Order: sequence, then C-alpha cells, then structure tokens
Amino acid sequence: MTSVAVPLRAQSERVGPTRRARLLRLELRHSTMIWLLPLLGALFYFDAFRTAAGYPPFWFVRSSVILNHLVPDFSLFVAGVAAWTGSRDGRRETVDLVTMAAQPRCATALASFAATTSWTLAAFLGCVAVLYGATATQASWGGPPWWPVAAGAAVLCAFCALGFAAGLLLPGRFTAPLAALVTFLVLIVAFRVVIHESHPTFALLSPMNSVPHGDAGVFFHYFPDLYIVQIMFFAGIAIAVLGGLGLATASGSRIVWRTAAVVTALGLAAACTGVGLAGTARVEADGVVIPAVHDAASDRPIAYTPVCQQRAIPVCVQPAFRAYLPDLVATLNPLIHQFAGLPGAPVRVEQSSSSTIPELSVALSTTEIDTLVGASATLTGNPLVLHLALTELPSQSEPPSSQPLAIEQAAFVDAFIGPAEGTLGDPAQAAIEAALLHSASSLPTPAAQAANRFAALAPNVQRAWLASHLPALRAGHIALAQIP
Amino acid sequence: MNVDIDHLTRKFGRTQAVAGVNLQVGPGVFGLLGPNGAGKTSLLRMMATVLQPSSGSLRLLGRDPHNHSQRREIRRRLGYLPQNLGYYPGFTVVEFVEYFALLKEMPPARIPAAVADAVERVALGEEARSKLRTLSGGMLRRVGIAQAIVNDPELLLLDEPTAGLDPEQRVQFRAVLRELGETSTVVVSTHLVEDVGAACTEVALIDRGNIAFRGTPDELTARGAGHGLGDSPLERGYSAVLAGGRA
Repeated sequence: MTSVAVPLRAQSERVGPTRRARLLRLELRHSTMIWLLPLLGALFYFDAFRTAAGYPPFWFVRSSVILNHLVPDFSLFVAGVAAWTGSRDGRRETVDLVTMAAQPRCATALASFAATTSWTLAAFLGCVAVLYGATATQASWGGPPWWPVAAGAAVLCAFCALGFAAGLLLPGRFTAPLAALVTFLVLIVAFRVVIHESHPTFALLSPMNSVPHGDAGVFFHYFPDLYIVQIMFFAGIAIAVLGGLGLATASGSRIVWRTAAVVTALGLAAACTGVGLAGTARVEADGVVIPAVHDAASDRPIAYTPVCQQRAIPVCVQPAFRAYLPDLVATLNPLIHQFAGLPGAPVRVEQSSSSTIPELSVALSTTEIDTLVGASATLTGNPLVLHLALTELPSQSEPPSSQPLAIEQAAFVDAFIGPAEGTLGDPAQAAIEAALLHSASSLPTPAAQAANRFAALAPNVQRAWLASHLPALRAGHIALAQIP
Repeated sequence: MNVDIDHLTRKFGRTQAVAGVNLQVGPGVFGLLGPNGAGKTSLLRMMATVLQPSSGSLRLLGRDPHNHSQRREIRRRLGYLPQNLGYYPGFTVVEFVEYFALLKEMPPARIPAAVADAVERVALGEEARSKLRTLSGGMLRRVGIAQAIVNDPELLLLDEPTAGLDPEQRVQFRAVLRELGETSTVVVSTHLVEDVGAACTEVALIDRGNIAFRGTPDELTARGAGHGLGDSPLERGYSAVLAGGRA
C-alpha cells in the first residue's frame, strides 16, 4: 500500500511516558465523563451551591451540602457513566481484541475505571473548591472541614466502582440507566427508609445523615468519628469491587488472581469493620461518638477570643458570628438601656453554644439545619453574665437588618425578669415581660390590662419602678394589681 | 512450526464448530478457505487465544497457550483481525492503533514509530487524525489491519481481511500480505478464492469443522481440472473438493 503521511514519522521519534501512563492518558481523553461535566456543574450550582448560599456562613453548616446534595446528585450520574464505560468493550464488540492482548484484561479495565474516577473526583473537588471559596469570602472564623470532602470522595469512588463492575460484567445499553436507577434507590430510598426503621447502623452509614450540629466547628470540634467509619465502609466497597473485577478477569494468571483475592479481602474487611464500628456509635450532645476511632482531644471546647461591642452592658459573640453582632446589639439595645444598672442586671451578654440542647438525635432523622439550633438565655456567675444562645440565624445573603431577632430579646427578658430556676412564673412577671417586649395582648384579661398599663408608661418611669420592685418581682411577690 | 494443532475440537452446545482439526503451519501466508459456517472463525479464534478449545492440543510459536505466562508471550507476538471489528468511534486512527500497541505491551519508546508505520502501510496516513466514526467501512477494515500488524507479529491471524475493501485496496493488501509472509506466519481466513490464489503459499479448505483439503493453491486448482463449478480454475478446484467431501 502507498505511504502518504510524513508528519507521523517525525512525531514518532520522541519518547513518551510509560505504557500505563499513556493508556490512562488515552482513556482520560476519551472518557464519557467529560461530556457530563457541564451537567454536573449545573446540578452543583442549582442544588448544592444555592442551598449552601441559604445557610449561615459557617464552615460546617455550609459543608453539609457536600454530603446532602452534591454527592447524591453526582452519584446517580457517576454510577451510570461508569457502567457505560465498563460496558464499552461489550457494546463495541472489542472484547476479542482486548482479550487477546498481552496486557491483562483487569489492567485495561483499571485504566478505564481510573479515567472515569479521576474525572469524577476532579469535578467533585472543583465544586468543593467553588463552595469553599465562596464560604471563605463570607465566613469570619474557622477553616474548611475536610472530613466531609474525604467521605464524599469515598462515596463517589464506591458508586463508580459498582457502576463500572455492573457494566463490565453485564454489558448492554440498558446497564447504565439501570445502574443510575439502582444508585438512586440505594441512596434516596433505601438509606432513607432504614432511618425510620430499627437499623440505626445502616442509617449512620448513609452519607446523607452526616448533618453537623449548628455549633460544630464553632464552639466545639466536630467529631470526625462518623466520617471515618463512612470512609472505611465506602472505600472498602470500592476496593472490594475492584478486587472482585480482578478475580473475574484474571484469566488464569495466578499472580493477578492472588493479588485480586487479597485486595477483595482487604476491601471486605474495611467495609465490614465500618459496619461493625457504626454499630458501636452513640449519639451525644456534641455529635456521634464511635469509641474505637474517637479522639479525646476533640472533646475539649474550641478556644476563642470573643468579639464585643461596648454598650452599657457589653455584648460579645463568638468570632464566627461577628457579622451578626451589630444586628444583635441593635436588637438588645432597648433592653440594655432599660436594665443596665438595675439590681441583678448582667455586666455582660455573652453568646453561648446551643449544643446543650439534647436534640442531636434529631440530626439522624432530618437534614434541616435550622431545627438543630435553639435559643436560650441564662444568668449565671458573679458578677452576673447573661449567656445567650443565638437561634435560627439568617443567611448571609439576606440583609441582617431584615432579620427578626425577637426570640433573643424574649430570652434576654425572660432570663432577667423570669422566675428563678425550678419555679413557675407568675402572672405579674409575664405581664412585665409582655410589656417590655411590646407583645401584650389586647384581650380584656387582668394580665393583659396590667401589661398594657405598664407598656404605656414612659421608659424612665418603667425603669424607676423596676429599680424598686425587681427583687420582689423576680421572687414572685408582686400581684397584677400592684403593676402601675 | 509456528502453529501446531492436534485433534482440536470446539463445541457450542450441541453444535460442533471444529471437529478434530490437525494442522501445522510454518512461515508464509496460509489460507483458510471454506463456506460460511465451516468453522474457520472458531479455529482462528482458538488460535488467537480468545476461545478455549473443547479438546485437543494447540501450540503457538512453540508455546502452550494454556500456560498463563506462555500465553502472554504468545499474545505479545500475535496480531489478530476479527471478522467483526469493533472500534471506539471517538478514537482517532492513530489513537486506536496506539491503544492496541499498548495492550500488546510493546516497548513504549517503539510505539509512536510502530503506529506510524502500521498506519502508513495500510495507506491511512491522510486519515491518521480522523475519528473512527467518520471513516468508511473499507477504511475501518484497514484500521483493523493496522492494529493487527502494529507489533510486527510473528503470527498474524486475519479473519476476512479483504471484506469491504475496493479492488485497488485488495490488490495493495495482497502485496502487504506477501511482504508480511516473508518474515512471519500469516493465517488468512476467507471465502474469496482470489485472495488465496494471489497471496497464499499454502491453503487448507475447511468444511463442517474438518480439513477437507491441504496443499498449495496450484494443487487446489488441479483438483478442479475437468469438473467443478466456478469462473476461475481455483474456484472450480474449491467447489470440486467440497463436492467430493460431501459425496
């Protein structure tokens, strides 16, 4: 036959990279995953990114979208594309050509798998970089948490391996959509169903249940225990599946077979260990503790220097909440003016963690961040300090001034006026609280009438009355009729 | 002998595709002739180490393909063009040939030159950067030949290599076959007797899984002298042998 192309000859003289690197380069260049990148980018923007933008700019809260939105969104497509790639030789009728090659079939398959997984992880990490980059511009304290990223990567690798194995062993045009459908059923249905059943172990293994507490990474370290176990479980599955593929494609090679058997055993051991450890988990106020992997150092609260705004009563918040300080001060300012200098008034208002609310178990059955945060205020110490837990923080994207912080006002007033710990409040206390909060009812009840009477007084008159009657009011010795 | 086959059989369920074939093939171009369903492709796939024989023994290039390490050695020295060539539509000609050069474990430094050489030998230099999805059936067949010869195989197995080639390409390809046959063993399975007559030094005629004739193309021609059907002497010899065997 005639010789035509000259440039090929010239290019052929250079020495390229190694055989495996070249194989991987070819697979990377022709990976189907490339075609899916724009779709994954759009999914990330419209689901994970926009959801995160609606959360307060705290690292752990924002990072929750990685496992709750980004990974499930990606997993469906990743499993489908991996199955499509795995079934390539079967669909394209190149099985004979690939089988008769000297390179073991498992090595060829591994190159295809590595290319698909590499693009998947690159897309995933790119999205995480965008998410964290945006958070970095808004968060005033702390740093990006990497455990959710590692867990997400392990989950994606596992679904990539499962999809690829399905495609390789059952090649066909319908393998890819079936793999995506099965992934959907596993992630969205199966894990969600077991949450409500009596299988807490499997519920804990679901990546979508790793909802961090609202104060994680702010007042206390988030326990990585659950992430570690999830990584063990999903990475174990990925390794075991790859080992299984090696066993299926060993084609008589003892070395390949033995190596694949060892890899499969290691993967299964890791996955089973993950399941076993998840069974030992206990839910505590600060997070899920798994004794075998728990680091006692993470039990200590995070040290920080509060950010304060000086007023008659200084108001201090954790540095992560710096952006909310002006709004909080503006909210509390009328009360501060009213209470400063009164007997039993606090010398400082300090933000405290809301983690003492023993509702973390709720975290296992919900993905709603807001439900994890409560509001409370307590007056403790000598001199008295008002510890105020902030509640339902507005997102950074909304103007702070538009956000009502009335619940903090109520907590402040209740801590100051309300009954002592262990006692019930009386009508006079409730009436004064309602008057100070301008929330008195218009109903013709004695309490409402008393509250409206007190609210109608000038602030200096209110303050003078409180200065002389506060101890009696707090002790429950004031009757409604005594309220001016 | 580069191919040494002894009582080789292959069954697919109740169908006996290859029924106790004995065959020894040395260097040169060896033709496997036979009607459709005679067992040519099954025999070739066993020689390509893709298909396991049901019974009998097979030695290729002096090695036993049952042994894993020897099979790997054989595969490094083997070229194979299947009857139905599968391909990856998104690959270019060069990438496709390079891909199989890598799978055949050629030394990386040699691959670019070998790929260029193989692509030029099948006259696809101008289409070297074209995606396979844009090529015609004949061009794809030539890509398949390029991937088969890229490793300079000692044993080259070609299943219907000229199917889809136009007459000019077929003539050129026969020249390539003769050239390859000077240094290695080339086994060509075909039902086109012109290819055998023009390129093969030896020929075997397979019918119903058995070898019905073994000899040179001239000897096959001689079998058809005075009787047999066909337009050419070789075709008459072919049909005479088949008719004799079936009788």
